[in-house]
Amino acid sequence: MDSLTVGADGRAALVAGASTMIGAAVARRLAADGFAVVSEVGDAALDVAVYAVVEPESLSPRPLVETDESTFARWCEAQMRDLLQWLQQVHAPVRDRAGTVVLVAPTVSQEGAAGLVPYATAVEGQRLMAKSAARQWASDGISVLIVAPRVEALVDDPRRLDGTDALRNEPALGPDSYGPGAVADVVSMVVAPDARVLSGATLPVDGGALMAP
Amino acid sequence: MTPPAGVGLGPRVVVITGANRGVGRGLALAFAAAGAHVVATARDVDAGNAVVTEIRDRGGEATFARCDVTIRDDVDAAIDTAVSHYGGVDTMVHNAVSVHSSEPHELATSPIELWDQHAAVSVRGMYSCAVAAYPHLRGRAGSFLVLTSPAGISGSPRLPFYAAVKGAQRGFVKSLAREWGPEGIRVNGLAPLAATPALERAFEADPSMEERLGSVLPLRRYGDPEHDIGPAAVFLCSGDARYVTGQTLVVSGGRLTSL
Repeated sequence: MDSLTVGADGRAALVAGASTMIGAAVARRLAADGFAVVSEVGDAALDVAVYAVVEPESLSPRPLVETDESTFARWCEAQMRDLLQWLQQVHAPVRDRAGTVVLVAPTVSQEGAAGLVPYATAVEGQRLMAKSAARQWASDGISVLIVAPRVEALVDDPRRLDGTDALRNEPALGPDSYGPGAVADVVSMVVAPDARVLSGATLPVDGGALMAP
Repeated sequence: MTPPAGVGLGPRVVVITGANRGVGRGLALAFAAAGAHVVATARDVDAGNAVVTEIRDRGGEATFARCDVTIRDDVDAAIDTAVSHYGGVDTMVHNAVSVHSSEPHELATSPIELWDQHAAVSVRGMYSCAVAAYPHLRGRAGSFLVLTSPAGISGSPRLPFYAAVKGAQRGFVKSLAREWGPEGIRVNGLAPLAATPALERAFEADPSMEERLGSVLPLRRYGDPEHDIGPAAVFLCSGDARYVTGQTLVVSGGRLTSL
């Protein structure tokens, strides 16, 4: 998957964070859609660039006052900084195809959650970085979208989130409605050229838990 | 501990970062006018002391603490000043921003060092202020207030790094409010649009911005830091707002109505 071969219809997609459950599902789905899928930024033009990177440790609930400075730096600041550097790398390749950038940013940043302060802070920072990219890069023909899964879709076992109140809202559609596959389905939809008018939007894929605004 | 209702601010102790000018100076003046004991902190000693002098000349109570919020020891020292002068901290206000906050920049090409400066003041500084103030805010119905921005809600085509750190602050406010609520500590955000030196610099850098912004501003004027923004901050940190937490109050003359 790391070598760029032209997809069935000549479209190329980059998925950063393909080792995460959501990243892997998105990479599989885009490959099935006919994209040549890579995981590292190169010189080749990109129709789609998806960012699904997460520092897994940052999903471990911990009170802020028990989070030391270096841990806060890794769980919060580094995740924003890493996204910025990735956006800077993909800007030219995506501009070459007037393509779409997708950020995976769980709804927890919009709702807040006790126990996940550094992570939720980082994700909301990432989301506003993406919104600003949508505004600044529109003149380059680039569309930037945010797909917001339920944070539960990022962990292999929801019990890892014991100690937060992140899962307090019930998904209206039930437990099968917000997994990595559902997220990948929505990414597949929003990278279609017709969907570029959605630029700047945040699309929750949380089974109808948040329903905001 | 539930604070009493309907008593306004009372003689509370407020620590404010970046109190030397702009919104921070306005907040310091407004809190002092409401009867608070103000610890005005800033890197700029002369400007910070000038604000303190202004407050005292009006009969208010204030003291200065030199503080670079990117240095944890400075933040701890500012808290210590509040404790030694006024016996504690009821409200911590993180208002300081990078000196580069109003300089337009390109997301695709701006140096990472510029990002690091924005993040150091707005994100790491916020963390340090929260963690340092926490032991003092507990048990006295304390509150933590973060000065965020409409840019942190809508994004910004000219100030993407600024918008990102201001968005991060809103994520922090919502989550920390949930975390600290059971201990009676409230955490809120305030997103102002104010006539400040920073806004003037932004207008200088992009002259079309002033007209563009003004034409979509329902109240047709930019907020005065002391008289328009300050009272909203005082409210959020007062007993009158004792049931308000995790919120961002947008004080922008109606500029932003989408929240």
